[in-house]
Amino acid sequence: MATVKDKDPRFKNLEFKAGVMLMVAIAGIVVLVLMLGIERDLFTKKFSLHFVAENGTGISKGMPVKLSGFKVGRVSTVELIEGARVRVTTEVSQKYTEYLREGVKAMVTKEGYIGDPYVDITVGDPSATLLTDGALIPFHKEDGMEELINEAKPALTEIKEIIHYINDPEGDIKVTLGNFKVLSEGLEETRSVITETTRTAGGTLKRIDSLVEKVDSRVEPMMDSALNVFGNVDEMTERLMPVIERFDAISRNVETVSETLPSTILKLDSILGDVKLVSSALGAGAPQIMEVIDNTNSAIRGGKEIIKGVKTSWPIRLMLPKVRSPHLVPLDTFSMKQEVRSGD
Amino acid sequence: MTRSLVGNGIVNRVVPIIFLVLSLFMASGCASRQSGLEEEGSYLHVRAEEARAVGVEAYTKGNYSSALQSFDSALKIDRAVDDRAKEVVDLINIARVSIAIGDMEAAEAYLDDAVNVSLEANLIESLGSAYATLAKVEYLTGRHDSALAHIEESIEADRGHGIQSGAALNLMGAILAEGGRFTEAKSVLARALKLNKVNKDGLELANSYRSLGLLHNLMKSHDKAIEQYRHAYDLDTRAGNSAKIAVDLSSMAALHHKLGRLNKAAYLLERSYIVNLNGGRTIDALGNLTFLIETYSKLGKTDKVHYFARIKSSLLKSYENGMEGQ
Repeated sequence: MATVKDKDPRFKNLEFKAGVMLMVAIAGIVVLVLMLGIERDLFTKKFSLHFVAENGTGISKGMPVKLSGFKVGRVSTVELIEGARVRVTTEVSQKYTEYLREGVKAMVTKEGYIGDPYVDITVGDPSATLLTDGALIPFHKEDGMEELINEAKPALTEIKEIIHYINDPEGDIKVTLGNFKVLSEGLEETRSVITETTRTAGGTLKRIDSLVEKVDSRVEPMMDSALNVFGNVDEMTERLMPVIERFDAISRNVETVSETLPSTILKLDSILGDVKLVSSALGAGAPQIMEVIDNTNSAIRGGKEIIKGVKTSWPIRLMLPKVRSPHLVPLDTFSMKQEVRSGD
Repeated sequence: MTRSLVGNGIVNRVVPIIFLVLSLFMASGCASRQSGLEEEGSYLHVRAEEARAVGVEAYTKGNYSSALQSFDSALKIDRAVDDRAKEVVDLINIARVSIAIGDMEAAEAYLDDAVNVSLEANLIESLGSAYATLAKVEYLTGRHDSALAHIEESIEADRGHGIQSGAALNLMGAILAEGGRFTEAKSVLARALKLNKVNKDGLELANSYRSLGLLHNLMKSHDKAIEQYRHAYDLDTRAGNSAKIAVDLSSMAALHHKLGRLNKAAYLLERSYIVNLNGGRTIDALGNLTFLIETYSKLGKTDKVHYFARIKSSLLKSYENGMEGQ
């Protein structure tokens, strides 16, 4: 008896159709694998280079190897060798071997300071001999953000100490400033005393003149006047005493200041040296910091692009709620005509 | 070997599916990259888009003057950059706001412009919307024949663009029902109901139910009409649309009144009055009170008649004072 399979024309050549479908699918997968292989350089001839690093921090298998910013290969192995050092083997496409000459150096660096790490191979002398397969090349570890921070750390610590030193009430700077204050106050008082004394001395000199004028006519009054003059001189001497005492105090202060000044100057020299060090470190780091900011911005832009791409890709876009463009307000066919009234 | 593989259901089905999925994914990625170039608009386009979005937001909140201002700004920008497609959208939006505030003359003028620009620039999708809005203006102003002609043109234009509008069908059903063409109206409204359900368009689904209620009322099937208004009421309460809730309640009240269920009618009228009063629609609330007093009077409940008559008098006075103050 004929089954449905025999009667229905759709079952005709079913095995052939299924076979063709299967072959097309397999061919598709093969093409895909081939494309991925080409993308990942699976089918290109390789040329290996080695380098030895002090430690393997930041180096991993599969890490890209770049030459003048172009990806030319990958890190194939990372292994621990004698002396706890790390031997890194890289596989570089054969077509780039003409650039790999004696004098090339490998270094681990990053796409900016926060980007993906990669092995950068510096271009050697074009006149030097070509490297052979499996050659050992020198390794140089480039300073990264961590190194920059580590470099800046001592300088920052010193700045902190300097600020403490300046703010210390018992410290040389504060004490010196206090002494200067006392000195200036003393000088002010001294100035007023000297003015007063000069004024008194002026009066005394006038009186002496008057005495000399009268010396011929009156001896006694002269004697009286002479006594008077002595009295005035005594008075003047008495008045000068505190001035002298103040001068003594001032000279003592100046002495103290002179003693502390050399050490203060030395400390200020040290402060200036530290500030210079910090500013030069910051100056050196400024372009890198700018680069970090640029890279961060670029990373954010890239992230946005990726999200946008994913959102517009099938089937993700089917899973996302449809965003209606608020173009037209609804027609809304509601009207009061839809109301039934008592008289209707 | 082929036979054994074919016999293996997993290989036979899964492998082509994977291949298909990957192909689609790659193709979609390419398409996205291509279309990405056109996504970014100029500064003025973005500003117009923003103004339109603000207008739609204001319209949704019932702030019609603000909506009108925003759509007007968008129109100016779109005209400045000669973006005719967006210009038509702005014109239709302004017309729809004008309808909402009762300015039918202005609405019609803007719609004439919208139709002309759409025809000149061959903007079929916009043409459908412009005709539908024009039909609404004509329907509301009692010009049923031209309203019917325009709504048919709207449906035709939409069909040419591969879309179906539940709103247009609702309007057509309502026009047909008012013109006494009940059978056609019923068929069109049934299509509108189905389409709005599929599109999950709650706003127009409630309008479909209300139009069917109106149709059943005209066909003297009052119980069926109550049922339709009940559906509309359920949707409107979910959406929190106060004006429509009040209309549903008062319509159900009127239908119960016709069926002699005066107590039920009075209860629904009281609810409608409360909804209108608290929604700030004093004139509608006064209409509810008039009908309520009449109903209680028929029921012989004089205390209720006096009570609501006092409320009506007080409400009317405060409304008139308010009008004088303005």
